[in-house]
Amino acid sequence: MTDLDPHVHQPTRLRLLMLLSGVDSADFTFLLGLLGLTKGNLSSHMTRLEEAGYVKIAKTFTGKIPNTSYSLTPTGRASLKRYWRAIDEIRQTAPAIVPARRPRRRQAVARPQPRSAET
Amino acid sequence: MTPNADTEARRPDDEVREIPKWARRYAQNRTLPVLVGLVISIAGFAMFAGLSLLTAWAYLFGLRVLAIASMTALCALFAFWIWFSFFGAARLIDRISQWLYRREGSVTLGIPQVGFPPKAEHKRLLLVAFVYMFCVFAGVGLGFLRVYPLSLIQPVSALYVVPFLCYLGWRLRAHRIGSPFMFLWPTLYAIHAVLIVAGAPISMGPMLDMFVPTFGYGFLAALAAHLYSRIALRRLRHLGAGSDSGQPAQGVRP
Repeated sequence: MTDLDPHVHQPTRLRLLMLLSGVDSADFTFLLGLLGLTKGNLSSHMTRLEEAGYVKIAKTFTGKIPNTSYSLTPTGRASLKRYWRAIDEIRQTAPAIVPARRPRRRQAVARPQPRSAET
Repeated sequence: MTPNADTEARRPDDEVREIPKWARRYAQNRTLPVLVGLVISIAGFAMFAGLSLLTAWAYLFGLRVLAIASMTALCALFAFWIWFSFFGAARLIDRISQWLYRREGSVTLGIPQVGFPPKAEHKRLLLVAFVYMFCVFAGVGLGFLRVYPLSLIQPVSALYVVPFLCYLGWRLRAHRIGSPFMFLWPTLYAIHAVLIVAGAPISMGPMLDMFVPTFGYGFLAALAAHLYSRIALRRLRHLGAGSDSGQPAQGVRP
C-alpha cells in the first residue's frame, strides 16, 4: 500500500497546506480565523511544516505591528500532489473492500445499542 | 471521474479538495481597496466641484476677494491631487484597507504585494493611462465645445471608458488577481450608454451623466465582489473547521 506523508496526512496540517496551495501567501491572523485553532496550536503546526520544508515563513512589519505570513514551498506543493495521488490510488484499490464492508457497518448502526453504552 | 465516483455520492475529502478553490475566490474578491479608492476619488471630486461652484458664484456676484481665494484653493487642491495620485493615494488606500481587514488578516494571490505592476508591463500601463486621460479631456472638451450634443456625453465617454476598464480587468485577471465581478463595471456603463442613445429617460445632466455611472457602477461592481468574498469566507470557514457535511456531528447518533 502507498505510504502517506504523516506531515500532510494530519487533518489540520492538510487543511493548512490546502489553504496555502490556493493563494500566494496568507498571514497568521487569516489562518487563525479560518481554522479556529489556538495561536499555540497553529504556531506548532506551522513550525512542523516549516521544519519539513513545506512552508516558508516571512516575518515583516506593517507599521509597528509584526506580521507573519506563510507560503507553500515547491517541495510542499509537490508533497501535497503526491499525497492526493496516493489517496486516489488507495481509493482505486479499495472498491473490492469497501462495498463488502459497507452493508455490515450500516446494519451495526441500525441495531439498537444497549443503554449503558449510550450513557 | 474515478470509478468510485459512481458508487459514492460525496467523499469526505471532497470538501478538503475544495479549499484552494474557495481560498482563491475569497482572495480575488477582496475588493475593499477598490471601494476605499472610489470613496477617496468621490471625496476629491466633491471638493473640486464645491470649490468650482464657489469660485463661479463669487465671480458672478462680484465678490472678487472670495473668487480669488477660492480660485487659489482650487489650484492648490489640483496640485495636491496630482501629488497625492502619484505618491500618497496607494499608501493611504493600503493602510485603510489593512485596517478594515485587520480581523480577517491578509492574503496575497498570484503575485507578491511589492513589485506590481511588473516592470515589463509598467510602460504599457502608463501609455494606456495617458491615452485614457487624453480621451477623457478630448471627449469632455469636444462635448463642451458642442461638437456633439452634451446629452450624449456619457455614450461618447463609453467609447473609451469601456475598453479601458475591460483592458484593466483583463490584465488583472491575467495575473490571477482581480475579481471577475469587476467586469460588471464596464458592462453596466455600456448598458447605460445604450439606454441613453435609445432615449431612455435616465439622463441627469452632462456632469452627473459622467460622474454617476463612472463611480456608481464601479461601486456596485466592487460591492458585489465584496459580498461574494463574504460568501467565500463563510464557505472557507466551514471547510477549514472540517465540518464534513456527510458526517454526523459529535455526540449525535444516526
